[in-house]
Amino acid sequence: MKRMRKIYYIALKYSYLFVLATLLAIVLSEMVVAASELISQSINTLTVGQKVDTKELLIRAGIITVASMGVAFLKSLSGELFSIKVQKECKSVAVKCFEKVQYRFFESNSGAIINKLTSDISDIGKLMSETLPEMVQHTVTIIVMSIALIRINKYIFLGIIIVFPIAAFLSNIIARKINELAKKRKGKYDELSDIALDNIEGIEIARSYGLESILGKRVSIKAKEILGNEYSRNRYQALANGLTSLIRWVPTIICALIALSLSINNIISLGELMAFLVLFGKISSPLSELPFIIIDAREMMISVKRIEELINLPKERSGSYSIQDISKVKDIIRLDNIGFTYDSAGEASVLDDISMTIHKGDVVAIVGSSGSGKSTLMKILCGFERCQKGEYYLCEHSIEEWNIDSARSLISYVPQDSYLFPCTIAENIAIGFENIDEMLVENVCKKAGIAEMISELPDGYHTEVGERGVKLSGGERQRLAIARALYKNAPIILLDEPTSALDEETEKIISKTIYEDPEKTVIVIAHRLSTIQDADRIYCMKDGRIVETGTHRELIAMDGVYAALYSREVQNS
Amino acid sequence: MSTLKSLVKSLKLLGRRLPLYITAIFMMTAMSALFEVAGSVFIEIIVDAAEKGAVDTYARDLIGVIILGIVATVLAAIFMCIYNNEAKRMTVKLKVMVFEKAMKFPYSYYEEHHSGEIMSKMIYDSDKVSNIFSARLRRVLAPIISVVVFAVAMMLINPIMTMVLIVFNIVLLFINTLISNPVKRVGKKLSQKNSEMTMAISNIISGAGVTKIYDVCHVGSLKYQKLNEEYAKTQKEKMSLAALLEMLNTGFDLLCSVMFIVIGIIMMQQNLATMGEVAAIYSLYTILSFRFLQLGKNMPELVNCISYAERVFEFLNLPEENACEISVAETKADLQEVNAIEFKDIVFGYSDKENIFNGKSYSFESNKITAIVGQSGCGKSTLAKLLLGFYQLQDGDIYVFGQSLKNTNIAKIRDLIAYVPQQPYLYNMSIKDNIRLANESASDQEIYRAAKLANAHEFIERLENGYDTVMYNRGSNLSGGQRQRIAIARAILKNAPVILMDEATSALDNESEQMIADAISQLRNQKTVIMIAHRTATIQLADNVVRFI
Repeated sequence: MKRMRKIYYIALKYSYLFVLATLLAIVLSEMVVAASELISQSINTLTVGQKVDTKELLIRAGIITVASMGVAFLKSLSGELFSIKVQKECKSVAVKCFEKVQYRFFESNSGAIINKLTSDISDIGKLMSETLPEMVQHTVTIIVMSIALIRINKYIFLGIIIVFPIAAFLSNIIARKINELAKKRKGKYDELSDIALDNIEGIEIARSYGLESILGKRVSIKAKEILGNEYSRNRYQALANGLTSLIRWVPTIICALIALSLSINNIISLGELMAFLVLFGKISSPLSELPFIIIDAREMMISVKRIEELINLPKERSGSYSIQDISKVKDIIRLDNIGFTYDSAGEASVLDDISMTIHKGDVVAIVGSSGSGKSTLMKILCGFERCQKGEYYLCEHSIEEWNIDSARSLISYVPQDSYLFPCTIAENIAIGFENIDEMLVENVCKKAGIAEMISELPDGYHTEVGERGVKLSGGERQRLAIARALYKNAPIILLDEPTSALDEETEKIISKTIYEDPEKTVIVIAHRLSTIQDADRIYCMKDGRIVETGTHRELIAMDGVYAALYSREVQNS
Repeated sequence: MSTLKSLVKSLKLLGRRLPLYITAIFMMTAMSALFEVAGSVFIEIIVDAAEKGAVDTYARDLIGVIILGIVATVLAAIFMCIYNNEAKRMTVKLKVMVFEKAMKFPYSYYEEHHSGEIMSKMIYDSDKVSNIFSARLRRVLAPIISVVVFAVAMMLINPIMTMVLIVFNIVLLFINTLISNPVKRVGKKLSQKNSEMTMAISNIISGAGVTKIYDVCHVGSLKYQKLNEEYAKTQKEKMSLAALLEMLNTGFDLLCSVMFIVIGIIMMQQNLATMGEVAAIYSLYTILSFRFLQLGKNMPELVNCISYAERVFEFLNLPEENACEISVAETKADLQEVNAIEFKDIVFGYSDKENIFNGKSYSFESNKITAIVGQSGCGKSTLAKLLLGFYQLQDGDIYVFGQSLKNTNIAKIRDLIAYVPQQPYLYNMSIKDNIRLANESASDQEIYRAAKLANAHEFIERLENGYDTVMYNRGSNLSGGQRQRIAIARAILKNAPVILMDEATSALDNESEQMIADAISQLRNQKTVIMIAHRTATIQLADNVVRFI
């Protein structure tokens, strides 16, 4: 129950609107009753054969009409406003949470997140604007009518009320079934969104391999599953509706018959019988509907739970330490025997017993065959993942102590497959900054060797690049990513094969510009060993361990793994 | 008018099930009404019985009414189930339709449109459209049905008075439809905003590492909050319209009742109606006006949903990739051609850039390894995509084993080519299934062989779940080199006469690159291999080199 708090809190915050809407609804229904009484009175007068004072009738009816119009307007406004505000805040809170969510979560489920933020939020909106008010209104009607009924005859009232627990019991069983189905179904809709997104993003492969039908099948299988689920839900829903009618029907029959026999035996008067029937007519439908409105509400609560899940996703750990001036720091990065594994069962370790000390201004290279754990090491350095064994010190402080945002502000990271956002080139380079320094953008583009190409574009730095930057070639994308890293001007630069799509000549020139800056500490993963020969230190990795360390010359002299890699490269070129 | 057209179009989606669906709505409404009638008749009998004090004479009637009520309930439930099933079938069908359409666009569509836009269509817009089937249409149809029934009954009692009342109500309905235009406009705006919000979210999620390190999360979330604010503002616009509508309807409803009395009095004075008629019409009219009120309330909602339907139809009508079904003369791929692939005088440029190719010709010899080299950004990848028919040539033609790209079904051309793109894409399925995509009927043994050739078998075996390891987020649980090798295995399994690799080995270390190179060497004289490359190692492997400037 504790986990549900946040959305409840949001709903509570705006509950004044809800209370207002409910009160207005009650007032409105009273006014409509008053108006219809006014009219039926007139009819009665007419029936008796008397004249109706048209003028007085019109004035009174006019007043009620105008007043009820105002009330109706305000009621509708406050009810909807409540729903809109809750929806807005739920979305806002959920997305704000994304800022702090663990990196790992972002690596999957993007379709599902989109689905949750769209479908479930609108369900919550419906809960707030339709289902909840209905529940409250019905409850109020039941209470008011019950009091009136008790006044006529306690026993008949008991006859009505006794059905209620049965209804509640039955509705509870159905609700549980429907909830179970809803939970599964919503999960399946998530999966459907994930599959659809996956299929669309992989369109290049789908086209060239003619996979439309195979991938379409993935969608239609999910769709079939959803449909099966919907069908069983509909059966329960129909059962619930049938029961609603019957529950309304059975007490009507029983109570009316009791009332009839009471009346025949002169225990209650005919007038009382009439009054009873009228009141009963008013109470029976809310009484029978309420349990099933509760079924609906409970089904929608699944959406509340799902949004709560988003809000409560594991957050990144973050301490309070931050540093302004790193000029006195000597060991900018130090790893002490760290070990890491993706699954907590912890059998297949990805990194094992890694130690390294990197001084400020160093250029350090990490080499090794693909799958040896180099990129994972980068993720640990960025604080995306936390090592399970050993300790990672950034600026001589354990990463656990660091405020994670401050720690990251020290790092420029260029991943293997850099994401370009669907905005202009300049915006992509100055990403994360609210104001773009155009001079600086141009400057870093020159350093990254891409300024010339950009200046040839008709819109220059204001050219829009598509999602994932598809309109640019691989080499252009990589250079933009490097420019982005340079723009950030952080003291630590992490490069994960940043130039693999470039030709050797360009690669060398760009690498040199980056490595030259004595202020920057550079850690680079490279496959092209020729680009890192001047590195201060080279770590050679194999199967998650560091097997050799040293400068290029030392490693060649060692004649081990590195030397073998190098000689293969020399042979090839 | 366009609204009605779109509604008809939406209904046509139901196909042969339309009569069943409409019958279900009708029966559901009728049975619920019957239940109501049974209820009121029941009360009437009880009162009569109490008045007369003779229960026995009414016993048969009572039992009859009770049975009628139960039958009506059961039937209503059954038809409701049918109705809901049909509605849900449409919901799912619509989503699948949107998805299937989303897979059929010309390649450039995906470069120009954000995936978030398509997702928003599939989730948000199609949900709103399916609302037509699951609720909105019924809520408009049901009152119309009962309005007709009641109007006929009232007409029989007193035609003149009924006419006057109906005219009043039609005015009321007309005012409602006046508001439906702005409602529609707001609906479209909401859909647009939702689509932008979806994009903002997917930007936060997709960039993963970049978003965290460059603090895009914060900026992205700010952008989302801004859009969220705008969305809520648009919702408020809709809310004001709805509130206005409710106000008008409440007012009109009361006003009509008053007018009714006034008309009644006048007509009685002029002897156009009797007291009994006025009383009878009044009792019917209260129900009628309630239905009209419902109609007024539900009409704008229906119109709103139809506006989404229009958006979805627009989407479904967008031009698809030109899939030329039959060639003029059904040419067959002649695998014996000297030149497997020929580009003849091709002219092509992206709309916003200068032409990349201006009447260039290239040819690629059969069963030879050809390397395409040149600086980054000079059009190497574009050439590959042109060969795959992703873009339309402005002039010239491409021949694959003698077949012209212009008048051959593009799917047939693609069958002849195994493509490994610069950035490998792995679907969220197991490694085995990812490789098997290239050839559905391939046995496990064939998959292992392809993986071995791509130098992927060894590392896959070492994974905890081996070939059954499920990929997520485009395979981000593997390293770049590993992903690339799986993509190569997939290309090998396709066993197409042409292998087209776009920088396929650039993310690999020297050792793996060497192994791939060895594998490709083995294909010499068996396959036509085109390799886009900048590495000397790859170029050395080639029989021919095409140099781009």
